[in-house]
Amino acid sequence: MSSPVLEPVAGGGTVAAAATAARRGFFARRRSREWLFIALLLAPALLIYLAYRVVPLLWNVVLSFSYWAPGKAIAFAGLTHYEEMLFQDETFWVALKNTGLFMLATPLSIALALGLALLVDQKVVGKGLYRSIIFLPYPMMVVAVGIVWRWLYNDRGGLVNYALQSMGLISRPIAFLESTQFALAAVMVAAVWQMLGLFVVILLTGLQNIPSHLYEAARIDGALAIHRFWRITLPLLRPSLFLCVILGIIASFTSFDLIYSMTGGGPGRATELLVTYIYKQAFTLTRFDYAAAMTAVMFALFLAIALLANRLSGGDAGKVDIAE
Amino acid sequence: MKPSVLLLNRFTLTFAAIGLVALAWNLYVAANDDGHLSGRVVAADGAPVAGATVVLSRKTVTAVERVADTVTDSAGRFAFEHHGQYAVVLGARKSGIGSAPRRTVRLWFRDQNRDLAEPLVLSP
Amino acid sequence: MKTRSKLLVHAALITVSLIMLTPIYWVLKTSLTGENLFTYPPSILPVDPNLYYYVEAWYSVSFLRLFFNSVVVALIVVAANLVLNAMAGYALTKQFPGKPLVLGFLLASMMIPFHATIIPAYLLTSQLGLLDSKLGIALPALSHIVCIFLFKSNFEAVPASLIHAARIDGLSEWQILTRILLPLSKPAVATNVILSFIWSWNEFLWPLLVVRSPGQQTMPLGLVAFLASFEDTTGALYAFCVLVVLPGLLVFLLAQRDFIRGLTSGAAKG
Repeated sequence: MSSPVLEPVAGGGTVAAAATAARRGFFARRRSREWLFIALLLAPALLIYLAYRVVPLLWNVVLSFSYWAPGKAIAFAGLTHYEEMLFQDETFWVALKNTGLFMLATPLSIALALGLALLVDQKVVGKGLYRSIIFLPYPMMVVAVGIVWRWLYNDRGGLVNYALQSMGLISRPIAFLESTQFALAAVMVAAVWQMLGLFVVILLTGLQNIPSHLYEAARIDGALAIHRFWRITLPLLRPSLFLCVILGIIASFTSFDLIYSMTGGGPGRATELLVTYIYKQAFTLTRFDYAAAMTAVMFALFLAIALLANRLSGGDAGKVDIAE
Repeated sequence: MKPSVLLLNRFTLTFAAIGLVALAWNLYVAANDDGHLSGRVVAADGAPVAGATVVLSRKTVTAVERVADTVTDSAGRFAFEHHGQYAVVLGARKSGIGSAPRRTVRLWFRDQNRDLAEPLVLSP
Repeated sequence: MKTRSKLLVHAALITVSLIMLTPIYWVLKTSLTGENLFTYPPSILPVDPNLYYYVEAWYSVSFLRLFFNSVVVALIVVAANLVLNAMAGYALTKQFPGKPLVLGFLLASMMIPFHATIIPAYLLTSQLGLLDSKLGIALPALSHIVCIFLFKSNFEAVPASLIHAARIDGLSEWQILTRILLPLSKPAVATNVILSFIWSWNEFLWPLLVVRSPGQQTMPLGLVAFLASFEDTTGALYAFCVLVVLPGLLVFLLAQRDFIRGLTSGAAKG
């Protein structure tokens, strides 16, 4: 007699026991017990994301269409906040522009990281050491990084000015963080310095996952190094590259810590990003409703860019390696 | 996981070592923090000066503030107790003889006991 | 590989390494010598190094309290992450109705950056009465989706026969998770611990919003407060920076091997 259940039944018990007990009611109870267990396993984590990601997103949207202040009643506002933001708020547009510029650091640093990863991937002694050194800035506290770079950029005792002057590139020191011209770029350099290590590690992992026999076959077929790179390496590196792009975009949208400790958004509004402006509106001026509208716009923008990056990298980004 | 793995891995050993160092340090501090600061005041020729006023000031990141003062004994020695600082500035003065340049004394912990090796030298 | 190209590679990598290390070296040097803003030109090597700026940093703020607060929050976050992420990762290795929905929910949540949620998150935490508390600081970070998927991949790599054998032996689902899957997923556990610790230790914006009193400040907040009170004309500020950064670096250096391995194995399995 063949039993309807061939494998051990979840939750223990032998095949024979399951066969004899395979009447629908008992089996269903065992299965549903497993589902209950699964639900319990998932519940705490899902609750956190519900409470601190999904619900806030919707809450933001509702808030953006309302008039509300702590302690006051909520009232419908329609598009008032959006109108103010788009047509009357110059700082919003400046912050938007700065955020866009800040994002330009991402492709630059990924290209740099790719070069570094290719170098490190060569069979040289001390590979692990180089990788560790390049990655070292990443686990550092961003606020500390900001303070360190402030010091480096200082126009009286800072290393950057000293180095540039020693190399003859400038004749007098530049107060980088106090010049509307250079401040944003200066902050971006610090950001790249910190993110480079993460990109290199991700790309290195991607490089190491490319089977070497592909290169062997190509070499036998007479393909030059540049062809091997273009036809084998780059396409197979796509998921890693996409991951770096997403992480870079997220980092540029959320670089609150670095701006706060390096410039506070100044000089003037030269380094004001959307995220710092939102913070100031919400938590310094207590304009939660207006800030919520800006947050909604910021998120929509971020989503659009992420989807665009996805499309440009050839559709479904595939593996979810290490994001966030 | 086997208990030996739990105990002998890099993490546990490192943090245990750090913990032990911290404990030893705290014991040392507890045994030596009476805030005792002593020294001598001499004149330019090396003779001890009795009755010189020694002023102890607190030194912080932002300021130097006077905390206490005392007078040297017949052998030119002075001592402060329980000064409660981690960095001080000492000044000495005796009318008729002169004053000593301010001396900064930095300690490793608050109220660390210290006996100054070099005396404060008064000069006009 | 030809010797000449090998040398070139080394030369390039050494140059890059020096550039990456220079800021770290510089802050270390300044913390030891207290060269203030007005010394020009700056010297490359430390002149008259001393450790007294560390003493100054320690006493200028309630360093121990800041350290304690950060440690407690980090411990809550790391412990919760281990438990919640392993549980969720295990659940996702099974089949159940609505699984695509749950996966979609998680992926969607991953696309919502934390900074897009700060206003309602703050209001929610305020409603829960958790403002100015360590639990309030820890709450949004009790689980990271990345780590859930990391556990999921690691668990799926465990041979199914092992799990079946365990079931036949009568182990409950919970025991399968704790006795079999977790011990075999050491890289994932290590990565989970390291990532959640470092993210928690370095977190600045969220504690900035939640903490209302100086007694509850965490290290990053203390650092910024120090900067505000004392400006950057003292070596003590940089000593503080070094002290603040040290635990994160220490954990990373100790855990490099497992960390990289954890990232790699997760990436390979997807």
